[in-house]
Amino acid sequence: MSHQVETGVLSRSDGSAQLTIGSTKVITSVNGPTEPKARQELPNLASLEIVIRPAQGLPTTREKLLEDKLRSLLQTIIIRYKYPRQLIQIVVQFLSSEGKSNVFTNNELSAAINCAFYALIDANIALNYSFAAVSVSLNEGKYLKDPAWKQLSESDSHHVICFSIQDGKAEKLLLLESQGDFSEEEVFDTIAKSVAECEKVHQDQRKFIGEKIDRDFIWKA
Amino acid sequence: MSQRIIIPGDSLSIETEGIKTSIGPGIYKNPKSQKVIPSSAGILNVKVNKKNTNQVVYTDSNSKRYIPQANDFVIGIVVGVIGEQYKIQLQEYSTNVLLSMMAFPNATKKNRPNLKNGQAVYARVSQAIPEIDIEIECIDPVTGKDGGFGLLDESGYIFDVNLNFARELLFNPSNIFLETLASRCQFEIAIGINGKIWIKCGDGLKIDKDETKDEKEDDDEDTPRKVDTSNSYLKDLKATLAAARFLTRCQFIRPEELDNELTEAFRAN
Repeated sequence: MSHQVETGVLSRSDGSAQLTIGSTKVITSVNGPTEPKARQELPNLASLEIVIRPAQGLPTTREKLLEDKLRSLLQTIIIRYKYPRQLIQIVVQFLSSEGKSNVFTNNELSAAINCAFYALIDANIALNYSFAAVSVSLNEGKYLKDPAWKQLSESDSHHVICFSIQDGKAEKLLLLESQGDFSEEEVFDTIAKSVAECEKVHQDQRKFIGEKIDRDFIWKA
Repeated sequence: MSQRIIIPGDSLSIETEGIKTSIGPGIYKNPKSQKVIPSSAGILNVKVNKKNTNQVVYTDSNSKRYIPQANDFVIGIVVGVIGEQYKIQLQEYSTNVLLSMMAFPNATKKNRPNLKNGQAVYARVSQAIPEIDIEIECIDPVTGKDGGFGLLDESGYIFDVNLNFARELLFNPSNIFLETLASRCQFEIAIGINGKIWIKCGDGLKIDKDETKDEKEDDDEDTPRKVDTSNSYLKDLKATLAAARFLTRCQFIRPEELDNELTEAFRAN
């Protein structure tokens, strides 16, 4: 399943992106650096405000948990020292997510991470490195990338893996979220296999960014 | 094109030993590791001088949010007064910057400029340290005269463009957009690097004060407005709006479509 991306979808925010992976669709906006509220202001670095809204209904603890994971990831990636006393607001709105159960957040988390990358690039926020995430499921040892909800519910375990990308190669493991029954060997094997998948996602990112920059400078002769 | 696109995480692959390197927008030096890395995705520019002793590295990319840098020319809106300083808004939701009442030509404690909320000024960023308040001034530091800075009159029209396009208009003297526009109408323009452009064709949006009064009375009496007296104003107003429309559209089209777009924008006039 390939990613469908569009950036600059929201004309009034500083950066935005819409991403579709399988049946998960998400739109992300980035605003910043802007003036923070007094209680958010940090004297030597930028504060991050991350808001996640579900496709249906109101945000619950599930969205708060996703926000927390996204924040822990992004706060190391964004060069926050470059924007002291400023606020960067990232809003992730899911447009559709498969399955009514709120047990699984795998595909949502991976989509939110990948979409946030495009939105941050669109907003021209300083980043230490690029990053890419994949959602995988293991069923009797069978490795499956971007599982649909049915495959996810039948799987033994599922994982979200996010790598930092340097020079087109997966460098550091930034995030690993695992649920279900799995052995230590299995999880290491999954991480090893995901290296190639993250690099594949990154190739799409690079191609897309190239096209985006061409579009931004279309008026240049 | 021979341009190289770079994204965060890529290595810059430039020589930094034995050559003085200045880093510009989109390049960051990590204070801990002292590594020079690209921090935003864009077109990489490396300019080395002839003697191979100095180089400048920066990336060119598009964005909408302006981050003040010293010596930038900006357009700001007066939003308030604190003591002897005006609070100026450079962009919606951005932190306001300060404009001292003394930072005008010939200003003294007694002879102060009189700016009201909502008025626009063209100014230069005199101090941009992110940790403290940013200051701008309406004075040419070399001559001490206005140098083209100061209040922008209210008959102009201010609109927003992307920052990369604003930079092109201001810094590239051979850009074709203003020349193309000049082939159609006369205009006065002020370009703020913060993505704001002030433009005025002829008399711009000016409405004679007596006339507005007349119109008000007319409205009260429920009679149709007098159009014939303001015909020349109407023409300038239409031209101003058309020019703004044209420049806004220029950001999204190829250079060869410019002439079409110009005709399109001015069709209603």
